Amino acid sequence: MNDNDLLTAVKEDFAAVRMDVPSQVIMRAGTSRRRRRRAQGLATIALTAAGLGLAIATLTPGVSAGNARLAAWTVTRQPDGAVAVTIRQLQDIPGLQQQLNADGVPTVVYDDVTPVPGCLDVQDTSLLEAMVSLAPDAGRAVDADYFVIHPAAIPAGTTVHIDVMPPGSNPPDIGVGQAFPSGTAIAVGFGLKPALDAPSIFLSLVYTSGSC
Amino acid sequence: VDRDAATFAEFYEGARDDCLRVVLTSVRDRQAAEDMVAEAFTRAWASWRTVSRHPAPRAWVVRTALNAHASWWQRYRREVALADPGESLTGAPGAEGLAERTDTELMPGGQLMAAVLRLPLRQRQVIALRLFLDFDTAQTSRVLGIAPGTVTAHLARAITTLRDQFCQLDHEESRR
Repeated sequence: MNDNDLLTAVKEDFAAVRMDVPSQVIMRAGTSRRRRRRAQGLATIALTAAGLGLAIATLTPGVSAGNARLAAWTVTRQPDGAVAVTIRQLQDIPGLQQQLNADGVPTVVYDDVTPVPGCLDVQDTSLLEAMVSLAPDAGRAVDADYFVIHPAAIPAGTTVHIDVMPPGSNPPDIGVGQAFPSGTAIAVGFGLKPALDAPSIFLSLVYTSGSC
Repeated sequence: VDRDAATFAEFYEGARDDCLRVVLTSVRDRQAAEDMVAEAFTRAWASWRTVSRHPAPRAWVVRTALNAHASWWQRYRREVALADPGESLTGAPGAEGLAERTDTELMPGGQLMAAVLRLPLRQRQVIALRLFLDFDTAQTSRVLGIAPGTVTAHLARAITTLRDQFCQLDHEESRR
Protein backbone atom coordinates (compact mmCIF):
# COMPACT_ATOMS: atom_id res chain seq x y z
CA MET A 1 0.00 0.00 0.00
CA ASN A 2 1.47 3.35 -1.00
CA ASP A 3 1.05 6.65 0.85
CA ASN A 4 -1.89 7.78 -1.26
CA ASP A 5 -3.75 4.54 -0.64
CA LEU A 6 -3.13 4.86 3.08
CA LEU A 7 -4.33 8.48 3.14
CA THR A 8 -7.38 7.50 1.13
CA ALA A 9 -8.14 4.80 3.69
CA VAL A 10 -7.76 7.32 6.51
CA LYS A 11 -10.04 9.76 4.71
CA GLU A 12 -12.65 7.08 4.25
CA ASP A 13 -12.48 6.39 7.96
CA PHE A 14 -13.61 9.97 8.58
CA ALA A 15 -16.51 9.66 6.15
CA ALA A 16 -18.98 9.16 8.99
CA VAL A 17 -18.04 12.55 10.46
CA ARG A 18 -20.67 14.76 8.94
CA MET A 19 -22.06 18.16 9.73
CA ASP A 20 -25.81 17.69 9.91
CA VAL A 21 -26.90 21.27 10.49
CA PRO A 22 -28.92 22.44 7.45
CA SER A 23 -27.70 25.53 5.64
CA GLN A 24 -31.01 27.27 6.38
CA VAL A 25 -30.31 27.13 10.11
CA ILE A 26 -26.83 28.57 9.64
CA MET A 27 -28.13 31.32 7.37
CA ARG A 28 -30.94 32.24 9.75
CA ALA A 29 -28.42 32.60 12.57
CA GLY A 30 -26.07 34.57 10.34
CA THR A 31 -28.85 36.87 9.22
CA SER A 32 -29.83 37.51 12.84
CA ARG A 33 -26.22 38.26 13.67
CA ARG A 34 -26.05 40.72 10.77
CA ARG A 35 -29.28 42.40 11.93
CA ARG A 36 -27.97 42.67 15.49
CA ARG A 37 -24.78 44.22 14.20
CA ARG A 38 -26.73 46.70 12.13
CA ALA A 39 -28.98 47.50 15.09
CA GLN A 40 -25.97 48.05 17.30
CA GLY A 41 -24.55 50.38 14.68
CA LEU A 42 -27.80 52.34 14.53
CA ALA A 43 -27.99 52.45 18.31
CA THR A 44 -24.47 53.79 18.41
CA ILE A 45 -25.34 56.46 15.90
CA ALA A 46 -28.43 57.37 17.91
CA LEU A 47 -26.45 57.56 21.11
CA THR A 48 -23.81 59.65 19.44
CA ALA A 49 -26.44 61.99 18.08
CA ALA A 50 -27.97 62.26 21.53
CA GLY A 51 -24.56 62.97 22.94
CA LEU A 52 -24.22 65.92 20.56
CA GLY A 53 -26.65 67.83 22.65
CA LEU A 54 -24.61 67.22 25.78
CA ALA A 55 -20.98 67.55 24.90
CA ILE A 56 -18.90 67.52 21.76
CA ALA A 57 -16.21 65.57 23.52
CA THR A 58 -18.35 62.49 23.83
CA LEU A 59 -18.67 62.19 20.08
CA THR A 60 -15.11 61.36 19.28
CA PRO A 61 -14.86 57.73 18.17
CA GLY A 62 -11.20 57.57 19.06
CA VAL A 63 -8.72 60.11 20.26
CA SER A 64 -5.08 60.47 20.98
CA ALA A 65 -3.24 62.02 23.91
CA GLY A 66 -5.73 62.70 26.58
CA ASN A 67 -8.67 64.19 24.79
CA ALA A 68 -12.27 63.29 25.46
CA ARG A 69 -12.54 60.81 28.29
CA LEU A 70 -15.58 59.07 26.91
CA ALA A 71 -14.18 58.28 23.47
CA ALA A 72 -14.53 54.75 22.09
CA TRP A 73 -10.79 54.45 22.51
CA THR A 74 -7.94 56.59 23.69
CA VAL A 75 -4.27 56.33 22.78
CA THR A 76 -1.87 58.28 24.96
CA ARG A 77 1.86 58.50 24.40
CA GLN A 78 3.58 58.67 27.78
CA PRO A 79 6.79 60.57 28.62
CA ASP A 80 8.83 57.36 28.70
CA GLY A 81 7.71 56.48 25.16
CA ALA A 82 5.19 53.87 26.26
CA VAL A 83 1.77 54.02 24.63
CA ALA A 84 -1.28 53.62 26.85
CA VAL A 85 -4.41 52.28 25.17
CA THR A 86 -7.92 52.40 26.54
CA ILE A 87 -10.68 50.71 24.57
CA ARG A 88 -14.34 51.13 25.46
CA GLN A 89 -16.21 50.32 22.30
CA LEU A 90 -15.71 48.68 18.94
CA GLN A 91 -15.63 51.85 16.88
CA ASP A 92 -13.27 53.27 14.28
CA ILE A 93 -10.91 50.30 14.38
CA PRO A 94 -8.92 51.59 11.35
CA GLY A 95 -8.47 54.87 13.24
CA LEU A 96 -7.12 53.02 16.27
CA GLN A 97 -4.66 51.15 14.09
CA GLN A 98 -3.58 54.35 12.38
CA GLN A 99 -3.08 56.14 15.69
CA LEU A 100 -1.01 53.32 17.19
CA ASN A 101 1.21 53.20 14.12
CA ALA A 102 1.60 56.95 14.28
CA ASP A 103 2.71 56.60 17.89
CA GLY A 104 5.43 54.13 16.97
CA VAL A 105 3.62 50.85 17.54
CA PRO A 106 3.62 48.71 14.37
CA THR A 107 0.13 47.37 14.71
CA VAL A 108 -2.66 45.66 12.88
CA VAL A 109 -6.01 45.81 14.64
CA TYR A 110 -8.63 43.23 13.79
CA ASP A 111 -12.30 43.53 14.46
CA ASP A 112 -13.89 40.25 15.51
CA VAL A 113 -10.94 37.93 14.97
CA THR A 114 -10.41 38.25 11.28
CA PRO A 115 -8.35 35.19 10.35
CA VAL A 116 -5.09 35.86 8.59
CA PRO A 117 -3.66 32.67 7.14
CA GLY A 118 0.10 32.69 6.93
CA CYS A 119 0.83 34.98 9.87
CA LEU A 120 3.63 33.52 11.95
CA ASP A 121 3.23 34.12 15.66
CA VAL A 122 6.23 34.87 17.81
CA GLN A 123 6.16 32.05 20.33
CA ASP A 124 8.59 33.53 22.85
CA THR A 125 6.36 34.73 25.67
CA SER A 126 9.17 36.73 27.26
CA LEU A 127 9.04 39.11 24.28
CA LEU A 128 5.33 39.59 24.85
CA GLU A 129 5.85 40.20 28.53
CA ALA A 130 8.39 42.89 27.72
CA MET A 131 6.10 44.47 25.15
CA VAL A 132 2.87 44.87 27.10
CA SER A 133 1.88 45.89 30.60
CA LEU A 134 -1.58 44.96 31.72
CA ALA A 135 -3.59 47.06 34.10
CA PRO A 136 -3.91 45.73 37.62
CA ASP A 137 -7.44 44.76 38.55
CA ALA A 138 -7.73 47.25 41.37
CA GLY A 139 -9.11 50.58 40.35
CA ARG A 140 -9.86 49.59 36.78
CA ALA A 141 -12.70 51.25 35.02
CA VAL A 142 -15.76 49.07 34.65
CA ASP A 143 -16.38 50.06 31.07
CA ALA A 144 -12.94 50.06 29.48
CA ASP A 145 -9.98 47.86 28.69
CA TYR A 146 -6.58 49.30 29.44
CA PHE A 147 -3.07 48.23 28.53
CA VAL A 148 0.30 49.79 27.83
CA ILE A 149 2.54 48.90 24.90
CA HIS A 150 6.27 49.58 25.05
CA PRO A 151 7.34 50.28 21.45
CA ALA A 152 11.04 50.00 22.33
CA ALA A 153 10.47 46.39 23.35
CA ILE A 154 8.90 45.37 20.06
CA PRO A 155 11.51 43.35 18.17
CA ALA A 156 12.43 44.55 14.69
CA GLY A 157 10.55 42.69 12.00
CA THR A 158 7.51 42.02 14.14
CA THR A 159 4.05 43.53 14.29
CA VAL A 160 1.60 43.71 17.16
CA HIS A 161 -1.73 42.03 16.42
CA ILE A 162 -4.70 43.24 18.40
CA ASP A 163 -7.91 41.25 18.08
CA VAL A 164 -10.81 43.31 19.37
CA MET A 165 -13.94 41.22 19.87
CA PRO A 166 -17.45 42.16 20.93
CA PRO A 167 -18.15 42.04 24.67
CA GLY A 168 -18.92 38.55 25.84
CA SER A 169 -17.33 36.82 22.85
CA ASN A 170 -14.30 35.88 24.85
CA PRO A 171 -13.41 34.25 28.13
CA PRO A 172 -13.11 36.76 30.91
CA ASP A 173 -9.72 36.09 32.28
CA ILE A 174 -6.71 35.12 30.25
CA GLY A 175 -3.33 35.80 31.76
CA VAL A 176 0.10 36.46 30.46
CA GLY A 177 1.42 33.99 27.95
CA GLN A 178 -1.69 31.92 27.62
CA ALA A 179 -2.25 30.00 24.44
CA PHE A 180 -4.82 31.09 21.94
CA PRO A 181 -6.01 28.64 19.34
CA SER A 182 -5.75 30.59 16.10
CA GLY A 183 -7.14 28.14 13.67
CA THR A 184 -4.80 25.38 12.79
CA ALA A 185 -1.87 27.24 14.28
CA ILE A 186 -1.32 28.30 17.86
CA ALA A 187 -0.85 31.91 18.70
CA VAL A 188 0.63 33.02 21.96
CA GLY A 189 -0.32 36.28 23.48
CA PHE A 190 -2.25 38.12 26.13
CA GLY A 191 -5.95 37.88 26.59
CA LEU A 192 -7.02 40.90 28.55
CA LYS A 193 -9.39 40.53 31.40
CA PRO A 194 -12.14 42.56 29.85
CA ALA A 195 -14.03 45.13 31.82
CA LEU A 196 -17.76 44.78 32.10
CA ASP A 197 -19.36 45.60 28.75
CA ALA A 198 -16.03 46.39 27.15
CA PRO A 199 -14.72 44.53 24.12
CA SER A 200 -12.59 41.44 24.62
CA ILE A 201 -9.04 41.88 23.47
CA PHE A 202 -6.25 39.53 22.54
CA LEU A 203 -2.72 40.81 21.93
CA SER A 204 -0.06 38.85 20.11
CA LEU A 205 3.14 39.43 18.23
CA VAL A 206 3.64 38.21 14.67
CA TYR A 207 6.50 38.29 12.24
CA THR A 208 5.88 41.13 9.81
CA SER A 209 5.09 39.98 6.29
CA GLY A 210 2.98 40.98 3.36
CA SER A 211 -0.18 39.58 4.86
CA CYS A 212 0.64 40.47 8.46
CA VAL B 1 -29.21 38.62 -1.86
CA ASP B 2 -30.63 35.49 -3.48
CA ARG B 3 -27.45 35.04 -5.43
CA ASP B 4 -25.38 35.45 -2.25
CA ALA B 5 -27.60 32.94 -0.50
CA ALA B 6 -27.16 30.47 -3.33
CA THR B 7 -23.37 30.80 -3.41
CA PHE B 8 -23.15 30.51 0.38
CA ALA B 9 -25.40 27.46 0.45
CA GLU B 10 -23.27 25.87 -2.23
CA PHE B 11 -20.08 26.68 -0.30
CA TYR B 12 -21.58 25.37 2.93
CA GLU B 13 -22.73 22.12 1.41
CA GLY B 14 -19.34 21.52 -0.14
CA ALA B 15 -17.20 22.57 2.80
CA ARG B 16 -19.05 21.74 6.01
CA ASP B 17 -18.00 18.12 6.42
CA ASP B 18 -14.35 18.74 5.64
CA CYS B 19 -14.21 21.77 7.94
CA LEU B 20 -15.76 19.72 10.71
CA ARG B 21 -13.20 16.97 10.17
CA VAL B 22 -10.28 19.41 10.33
CA VAL B 23 -11.58 21.04 13.50
CA LEU B 24 -12.41 17.69 15.06
CA THR B 25 -8.89 16.49 14.33
CA SER B 26 -7.52 19.51 16.18
CA VAL B 27 -9.83 19.60 19.19
CA ARG B 28 -10.78 15.90 19.43
CA ASP B 29 -14.21 16.69 20.85
CA ARG B 30 -17.08 15.98 18.46
CA GLN B 31 -19.72 18.20 20.06
CA ALA B 32 -17.34 21.11 20.56
CA ALA B 33 -16.13 20.77 16.98
CA GLU B 34 -19.70 20.87 15.62
CA ASP B 35 -20.56 23.92 17.69
CA MET B 36 -17.41 25.68 16.62
CA VAL B 37 -17.91 24.96 12.94
CA ALA B 38 -21.58 25.99 13.03
CA GLU B 39 -20.62 29.26 14.68
CA ALA B 40 -17.87 29.86 12.13
CA PHE B 41 -20.24 29.28 9.19
CA THR B 42 -22.75 31.60 10.84
CA ARG B 43 -20.10 34.27 10.94
CA ALA B 44 -19.13 33.49 7.36
CA TRP B 45 -22.71 34.08 6.20
CA ALA B 46 -22.98 37.26 8.29
CA SER B 47 -19.93 38.59 6.44
CA TRP B 48 -20.36 36.62 3.24
CA ARG B 49 -19.46 39.44 0.85
CA THR B 50 -16.04 39.62 2.50
CA VAL B 51 -15.52 35.95 3.16
CA SER B 52 -16.52 34.93 -0.36
CA ARG B 53 -13.60 36.98 -1.66
CA HIS B 54 -11.14 35.37 0.76
CA PRO B 55 -8.48 33.37 -1.09
CA ALA B 56 -9.16 30.32 1.08
CA PRO B 57 -12.66 30.52 2.56
CA ARG B 58 -12.48 26.98 3.99
CA ALA B 59 -9.31 27.89 5.87
CA TRP B 60 -11.15 31.04 7.07
CA VAL B 61 -13.93 28.91 8.47
CA VAL B 62 -11.53 26.51 10.17
CA ARG B 63 -9.53 29.28 11.75
CA THR B 64 -12.62 31.18 12.82
CA ALA B 65 -14.09 28.00 14.27
CA LEU B 66 -11.08 27.52 16.47
CA ASN B 67 -10.94 31.19 17.43
CA ALA B 68 -14.53 31.89 18.14
CA HIS B 69 -15.84 29.34 20.52
CA ALA B 70 -15.64 30.77 23.98
CA SER B 71 -16.65 27.70 25.88
CA TRP B 72 -14.08 25.60 24.08
CA TRP B 73 -11.48 28.25 24.78
CA GLN B 74 -12.39 28.30 28.44
CA ARG B 75 -12.21 24.54 28.67
CA TYR B 76 -8.95 24.50 26.71
CA ARG B 77 -7.49 27.23 28.87
CA ARG B 78 -8.45 25.48 32.08
CA GLU B 79 -6.90 22.26 30.98
CA VAL B 80 -3.71 23.63 29.49
CA ALA B 81 -3.03 26.63 31.69
CA LEU B 82 0.59 26.53 30.63
CA ALA B 83 1.85 25.27 33.93
CA ASP B 84 5.04 24.65 32.02
CA PRO B 85 5.73 27.88 30.12
CA GLY B 86 8.19 25.99 27.94
CA GLU B 87 5.27 24.32 26.22
CA SER B 88 4.40 27.53 24.47
CA LEU B 89 7.74 27.50 22.72
CA THR B 90 7.09 24.22 21.00
CA GLY B 91 4.47 25.66 18.72
CA ALA B 92 1.91 23.30 20.14
CA PRO B 93 1.25 24.49 23.66
CA GLY B 94 -0.76 22.14 25.68
CA ALA B 95 -1.43 19.88 22.78
CA GLU B 96 -1.04 16.78 24.85
CA GLY B 97 -3.23 18.22 27.56
CA LEU B 98 -6.14 17.42 25.34
CA ALA B 99 -5.19 13.81 24.93
CA GLU B 100 -6.87 12.73 28.12
CA ARG B 101 -10.26 13.91 27.04
CA THR B 102 -10.23 12.41 23.58
CA ASP B 103 -13.36 10.37 23.57
CA THR B 104 -13.24 8.27 20.47
CA GLU B 105 -16.10 6.15 21.74
CA LEU B 106 -18.44 9.04 21.07
CA MET B 107 -17.18 9.49 17.55
CA PRO B 108 -18.09 7.73 14.39
CA GLY B 109 -15.28 6.29 12.29
CA GLY B 110 -12.93 3.43 12.60
CA GLN B 111 -9.54 2.48 13.90
CA LEU B 112 -7.60 4.66 11.49
CA MET B 113 -9.51 7.70 12.60
CA ALA B 114 -8.74 6.79 16.18
CA ALA B 115 -5.09 6.42 15.20
CA VAL B 116 -5.09 9.90 13.65
CA LEU B 117 -6.59 11.37 16.81
CA ARG B 118 -3.82 9.80 18.86
CA LEU B 119 -1.10 11.54 16.83
CA PRO B 120 0.67 14.60 18.25
CA LEU B 121 -1.09 17.89 17.48
CA ARG B 122 1.21 19.05 14.67
CA GLN B 123 1.02 15.71 12.91
CA ARG B 124 -2.77 15.74 13.22
CA GLN B 125 -2.90 19.25 11.82
CA VAL B 126 -0.66 18.45 8.87
CA ILE B 127 -2.61 15.32 8.04
CA ALA B 128 -5.98 17.08 8.38
CA LEU B 129 -4.99 19.99 6.17
CA ARG B 130 -3.65 17.60 3.56
CA LEU B 131 -6.61 15.24 3.64
CA PHE B 132 -9.57 17.56 3.99
CA LEU B 133 -8.49 20.94 2.61
CA ASP B 134 -6.07 19.55 -0.01
CA PHE B 135 -3.32 21.85 1.23
CA ASP B 136 0.10 21.26 -0.25
CA THR B 137 3.31 21.58 1.75
CA ALA B 138 3.70 25.31 1.05
CA GLN B 139 0.13 26.15 2.08
CA THR B 140 0.36 24.02 5.21
CA SER B 141 3.67 25.64 6.04
CA ARG B 142 2.11 29.11 5.80
CA VAL B 143 -0.98 28.25 7.82
CA LEU B 144 0.87 26.47 10.61
CA GLY B 145 3.79 28.87 10.63
CA ILE B 146 6.40 26.17 10.32
CA ALA B 147 9.08 25.44 7.72
CA PRO B 148 8.12 23.37 4.67
CA GLY B 149 10.71 20.79 5.69
CA THR B 150 9.03 20.48 9.07
CA VAL B 151 5.68 19.93 7.38
CA THR B 152 7.18 17.17 5.30
CA ALA B 153 8.78 15.61 8.38
CA HIS B 154 5.50 15.71 10.36
CA LEU B 155 3.64 14.22 7.44
CA ALA B 156 6.20 11.45 7.03
CA ARG B 157 6.10 10.62 10.75
CA ALA B 158 2.32 10.63 10.76
CA ILE B 159 2.16 8.36 7.72
CA THR B 160 4.70 5.98 9.27
CA THR B 161 2.65 5.75 12.46
CA LEU B 162 -0.60 5.27 10.56
CA ARG B 163 0.97 2.67 8.30
CA ASP B 164 2.12 0.71 11.37
CA GLN B 165 -1.39 0.92 12.77
CA PHE B 166 -2.91 -0.12 9.49
CA CYS B 167 -0.56 -3.11 9.15
CA GLN B 168 -1.35 -4.12 12.70
CA LEU B 169 -5.08 -3.91 12.03
CA ASP B 170 -4.65 -5.81 8.80
CA HIS B 171 -2.68 -8.49 10.60
CA GLU B 172 -5.34 -8.81 13.29
CA GLU B 173 -8.03 -9.06 10.66
CA SER B 174 -6.22 -11.83 8.80
CA ARG B 175 -5.74 -13.81 12.03
CA ARG B 176 -9.46 -13.91 12.67
